[in-house]
Amino acid sequence: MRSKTQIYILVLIISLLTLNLPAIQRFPRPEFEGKYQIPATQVTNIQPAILQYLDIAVLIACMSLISWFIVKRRWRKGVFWMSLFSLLYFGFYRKGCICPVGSLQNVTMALFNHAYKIPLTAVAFFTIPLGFTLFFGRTFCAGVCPLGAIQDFFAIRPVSLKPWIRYLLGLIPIVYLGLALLYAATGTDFIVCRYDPFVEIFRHNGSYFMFFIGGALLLTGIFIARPYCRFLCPYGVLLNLVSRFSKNHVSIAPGACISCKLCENACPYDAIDKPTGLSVKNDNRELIKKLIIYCLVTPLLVIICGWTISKYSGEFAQVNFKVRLANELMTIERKGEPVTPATEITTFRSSGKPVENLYREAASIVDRFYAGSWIMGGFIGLILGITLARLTIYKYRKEYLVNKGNCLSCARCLEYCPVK
Amino acid sequence: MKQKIIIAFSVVLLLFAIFLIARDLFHSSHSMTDASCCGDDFTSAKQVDSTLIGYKRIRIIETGLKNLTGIAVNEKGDIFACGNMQVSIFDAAGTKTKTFNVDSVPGCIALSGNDLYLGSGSHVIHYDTIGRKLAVWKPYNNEGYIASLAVNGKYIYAADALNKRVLKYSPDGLLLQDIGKKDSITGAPGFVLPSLYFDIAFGSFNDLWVANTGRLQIENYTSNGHFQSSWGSSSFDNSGFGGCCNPAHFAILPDGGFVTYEKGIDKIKVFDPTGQFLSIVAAAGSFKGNSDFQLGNNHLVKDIAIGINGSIYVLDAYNQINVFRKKNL
Repeated sequence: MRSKTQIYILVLIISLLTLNLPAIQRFPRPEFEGKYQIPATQVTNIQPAILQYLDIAVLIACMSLISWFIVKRRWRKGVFWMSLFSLLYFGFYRKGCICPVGSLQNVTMALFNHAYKIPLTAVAFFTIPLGFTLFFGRTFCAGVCPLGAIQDFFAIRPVSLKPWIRYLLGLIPIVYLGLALLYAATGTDFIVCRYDPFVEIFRHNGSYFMFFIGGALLLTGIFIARPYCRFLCPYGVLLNLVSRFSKNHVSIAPGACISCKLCENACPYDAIDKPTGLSVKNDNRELIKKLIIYCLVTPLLVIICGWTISKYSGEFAQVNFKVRLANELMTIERKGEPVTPATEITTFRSSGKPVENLYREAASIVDRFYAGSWIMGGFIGLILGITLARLTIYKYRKEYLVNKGNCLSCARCLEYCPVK
Repeated sequence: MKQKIIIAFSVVLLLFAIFLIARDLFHSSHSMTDASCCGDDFTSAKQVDSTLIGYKRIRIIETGLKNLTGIAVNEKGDIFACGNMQVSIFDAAGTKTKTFNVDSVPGCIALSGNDLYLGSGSHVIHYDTIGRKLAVWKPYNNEGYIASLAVNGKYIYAADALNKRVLKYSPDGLLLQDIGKKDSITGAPGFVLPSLYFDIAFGSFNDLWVANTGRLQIENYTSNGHFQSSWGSSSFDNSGFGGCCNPAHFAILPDGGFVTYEKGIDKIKVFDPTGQFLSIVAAAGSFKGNSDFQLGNNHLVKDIAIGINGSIYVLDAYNQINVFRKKNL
């Protein structure tokens, strides 16, 4: 029954994707010779203030409702229908913007650039899901995030991944978060929005490149449920962290777990921790020794990772337009004028601005990238160190428990539990 | 076994997608020359047969000014150049005779007798030719951008690129009409403007010509804004306009012919009053044979004006005014 509904939803999504097929071009596309690619039309998303407040109200309503469905009603169907609503409203109707995933860049930019006036919607979309997560776990991921919802409908045959694969892939969102913050703090780019794999689908336009990425992730998502949420989403890193401290997180069994093992394979995200054996619990001395070693190694990891990442700060800085322009002009000064200088160079020259100012500005940006790369590397090193140290901390479990950090609160496992 | 293959395939696909994103982020944005859309792509379009060049450059006026944005020529051959919060006047020989300051950055200029009009942001500002500010006219709205001005004696027309309208003003600055709304009954196509290039000029019959750059056409309207006809097509050869949003600038010769400039391709061409290609004034890139003048690659032309004797005045990106005249004159 559920898989039938899922197929209907897939048909609905595909129908929505083809809605604009009968559309005709308003005017003939100009001819271009050579390799020039006509850029995709970007839809600007300027909304009246009242509609922005409406978005916030809808978000709060959705978050309240889904948290109630999960924590109080323990109702999977409610989560399912909420996912569909979010996909239609935040995804196809609001075209994936604004979303909390991208809002972390707005917040970062506002913190580092005082001239940037952050919209109220961005602040609200950043903080509201975090606030709910602190109380109820990742209920936002469960069915309010349109990016998660679209992937959830594609999770038809989820398979379980080995823990080591999950740990390794789990490092990617941390690096992605670091880069997103670095680029936002330096005012370079909002890379999370630029590489949002599903926004092109919501908007019915975009580059073939991002359509391919979105398609590849949805295809992957048939077997590895929600690959973007688990192994790419930078906002998910923050939610994962906050969710660990959530007070009213949903539990698999409403009462005492009877260890019937029915829920053991219910989670498509491998977020159920199984009961531990007593034999492991007894082996404490070896674990304490390892813990001391890892605690000593962690500062070293922070320095090594910080140093290593800082070596690539120049590469990271190349994404910044001003740095790239300055580099190009320096190359021209060294090697002479190319046959066809880039349009950006011609435009800069015709502006009459002194090149020395550009060089100074670019140097300052590179310095900020260097400092930012150290912080980012140090952070990654710290996470690695903590992860290693946590492996040595033994937690005794006598029942099946959700892993609060990784659990996306989808409520699938609740249906398997016979305890009422 | 089957499950292992599925996992391996899915993980590889996921990593491949991540690799593509990283590659796009770090690699594709490294070289501006590689990413340039207007570099080699227009090479063949820029090539010009030197036998088609029907004009020669007779004078270069080094203005010595910076950031010039527009030029206009009066009946005596005096050249008015605006930009950088000032207007400079040059006599026909190219000697600067007067400069006066204005209190905003002008983007375009038009002349009518002793009246001088500047487009600045969304406003039209009325001066006289000795530099006295007479009025600031009410804009269509504050989000406009006046890209070009034209005067037909009685009325002043301003091309507002952001509102996609041509605004008709009375001499005392009253906004009388906005022209350019799409109308299926009259057949008016509406202005499609992918960029801020939006030039207008008056023809020999006091009819208004407008560059509908998104359609790669020049359209004809009555002075009351009724759509009459259009010409121009998408083409990289000389018969039409290539690339995006062209012609970027145009002006009308005393005989009703058109002088057009295409950005990107960097070609100044002359068409007859019906839109048939006649000759080339100047171009960039590799000439097949010798030429009198090359604009240089991506050497943007900022404005074109026509003198009373049919001379063509071209303001280039180096703030020089190049004067061209027909070869056989």
